[in-house]
Amino acid sequence: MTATTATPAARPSRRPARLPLAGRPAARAGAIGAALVVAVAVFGPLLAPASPTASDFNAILSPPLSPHHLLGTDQLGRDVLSRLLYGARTTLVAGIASTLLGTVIGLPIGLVSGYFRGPLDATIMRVVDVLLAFPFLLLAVGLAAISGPSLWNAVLALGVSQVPVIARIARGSTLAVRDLEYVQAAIVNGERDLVIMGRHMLPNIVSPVIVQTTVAIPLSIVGAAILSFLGLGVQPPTADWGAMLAQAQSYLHQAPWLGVFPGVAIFIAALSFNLLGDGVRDALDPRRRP
Amino acid sequence: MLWTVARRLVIALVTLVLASLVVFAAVHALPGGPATALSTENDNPAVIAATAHRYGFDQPLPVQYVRWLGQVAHGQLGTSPITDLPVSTQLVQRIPITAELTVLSLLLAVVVGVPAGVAAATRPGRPRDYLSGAAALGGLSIPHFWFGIILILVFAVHLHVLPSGGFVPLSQGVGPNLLHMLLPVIVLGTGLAAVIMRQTRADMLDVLGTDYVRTARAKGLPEWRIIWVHALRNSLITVVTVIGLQLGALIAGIVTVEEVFGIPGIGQLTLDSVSQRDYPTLQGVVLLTAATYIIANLLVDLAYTVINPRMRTWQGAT
Repeated sequence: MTATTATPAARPSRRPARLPLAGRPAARAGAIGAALVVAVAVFGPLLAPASPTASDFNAILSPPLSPHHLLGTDQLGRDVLSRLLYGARTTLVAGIASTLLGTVIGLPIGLVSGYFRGPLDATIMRVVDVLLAFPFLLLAVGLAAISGPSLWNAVLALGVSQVPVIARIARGSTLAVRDLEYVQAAIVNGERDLVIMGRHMLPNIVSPVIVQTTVAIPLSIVGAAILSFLGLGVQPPTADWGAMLAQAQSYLHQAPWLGVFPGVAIFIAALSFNLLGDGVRDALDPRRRP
Repeated sequence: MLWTVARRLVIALVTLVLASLVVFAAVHALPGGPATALSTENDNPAVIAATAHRYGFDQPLPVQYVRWLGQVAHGQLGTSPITDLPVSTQLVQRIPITAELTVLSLLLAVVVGVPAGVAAATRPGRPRDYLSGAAALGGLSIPHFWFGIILILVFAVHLHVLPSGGFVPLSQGVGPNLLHMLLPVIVLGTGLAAVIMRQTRADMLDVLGTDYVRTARAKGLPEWRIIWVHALRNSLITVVTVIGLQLGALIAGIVTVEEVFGIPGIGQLTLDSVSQRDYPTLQGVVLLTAATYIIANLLVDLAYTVINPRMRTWQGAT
C-alpha cells in the first residue's frame, strides 16, 4: 500500500445496518421462495384437501382443474395437490438433514485437522481425498443393496458425500486463523485444545462453512429427488416428489400432468435455495459486496 | 512434477482398493450373507450351505477378499444368477452404449458452454450476459430426470418428432442411433454446459483484465483473436477442472438419464441388479464405475498439472 493509493477514511455510516440481502433482488426472491417451500413442508398437511394416500376410484387419472382435484389425480385416484403438499416434507428433510449431517461430521474433522497439523492432518486429509473420490450415487446403491432403500439411507449417502467437502473448507479456514495472535495467546494462556478450537476458532471459521451448506442444500434436494426417482430413496406409497415422477413415467401419454407438477416443485425448491445460496455467499464474502 | 504424479497415483490406488473393499463388504453385509441372497426362499439350509461352499462363502472373509481380488484381476467377475451370463460379458455389451452417451454429452456441454461463457464475459452486464446467466441458473436447478420427462412430453408425446426412448446400436445405422441419442444427450449435456458456462465467464472476466490482454490490444490484434486465442487458452484450464469436479454428478446423471430414456447402459444394469438382488452383477458394475471414476479423476488431475504450469510449483504447498 503506498500513499498514492490511500483513500479518504470511510465515512461513518449513520444509516441503520443494511439487511444482508438488501440490494440483491434475486437473492430476496430466493429467500421468499425458500421460505414458501419450508412453509409448505411445515403446514402442507394442514392445507392439503385430501390424504396423500387416499384413493378416489371414481376419479382415476382426472386432469387438472377437475372438481375436487385442483391438480388432478394419479393412476390410483390420489389427489396430486395433496401428494405435492405432503411431499415437500420428505424432499426438504432429505435436503437439509443430509447437509446438516455432512456439516456435523465434516466441520470437527476439518477443525481438528487444521488445528493439530502434522501427521494427523496429513492422515485425515488423505482419507478425505479418498472419500472425495467416491460418488454419492454408488454409496446410495451400496446402502440400498445392504439394508433396502429408504429415506434415511438416502440422507446418509448424501450426507456422507458432503463430509469431505466441508472438512476441506473447515481445515482451510482453520489453517488461516491458526497462527493469528488471539489463538497463540490462548495457547500461551494454557487453555485446553478443545476450548481453543470450540470457543476461539470456531466462530471465526464458520462463515465459509455456512456458505458451503447453503450451496449444498439445493444440490441435496435434487440429489434426494434423484434417489427416490431411481427407487433408492423414499418408497411408495409415501408422497415424495422424486417418487411421484418415477410413477408418472408409465402414464405420460394418458396423464402428462403427473410428469409436470412434481418437477415444477423440485425446480422451484432447487432454484430458490440456489438463489438464496448465491446471495448468502455474496453477503458473507466482502470481495463480492456491491 | 514427478512427485505430484506419484502422489496422485498412490491416492488413486488407495481409493481403488478402498472401493473394492466397500463393494466386497456391501455384499457380505447382506442379511444372511451372499449365499442366502443367491438362494430362493424355498431353499432349505442344506442347499444354502452347499451354495455357500460352492462359491467359497464359508471361507474366512480375508481369504475370500484376496481370492475375489485375484479373480477380478483376471477379469472374472462371476456369473449373474438372474441372466446366467458372465458379469464381464454383460459389462462389455453395455459399456459402448454408456460411453457414447457420455462422450456426446461432454461434447455438447463444451460446444455450448464455452462459447456462451465467452459471449457473456465479453459483454458483462448486457442482455446476452443476463440471458446466458439465467439459462445457466435454470440448467443448474432443473433436475435431469424431470427435464428428460418434459422433453419426452414435448417431442415424443405431443409433436411425435423424436422417439421417447430406447437405443439403436450404431450397427443399425448412424441416423437412427443419433436420433435416439439426441434427447438423452441434450438432457445430460445442458446441466454440465451450465456449470462450464458459469466458470468460463468468471475466468474470462479475470483474464480479459490482465496485462497481457492489454498488451495484445495495444499491439492492434483483432478482438476475436485476443478473445478466442489469447484469453480462451487460459480459460480452458477451467473447463478441465470443472469436468473433473462434475464427474460424480455426471455418474448420477448417466444413471438417471438411462432410466428415463430406457437406454440399456451401465446405469440401467446397476439399477436392475439392485432391484433383482443380482449381487455378482452389482459388484461388477459398482467396481467398474468406481474404477472409471478414479481413473478419470486421475487423468483430470494430471491434465491439470500439465496445462497449468503454476500447479507444478505448488506441489509442496498442499
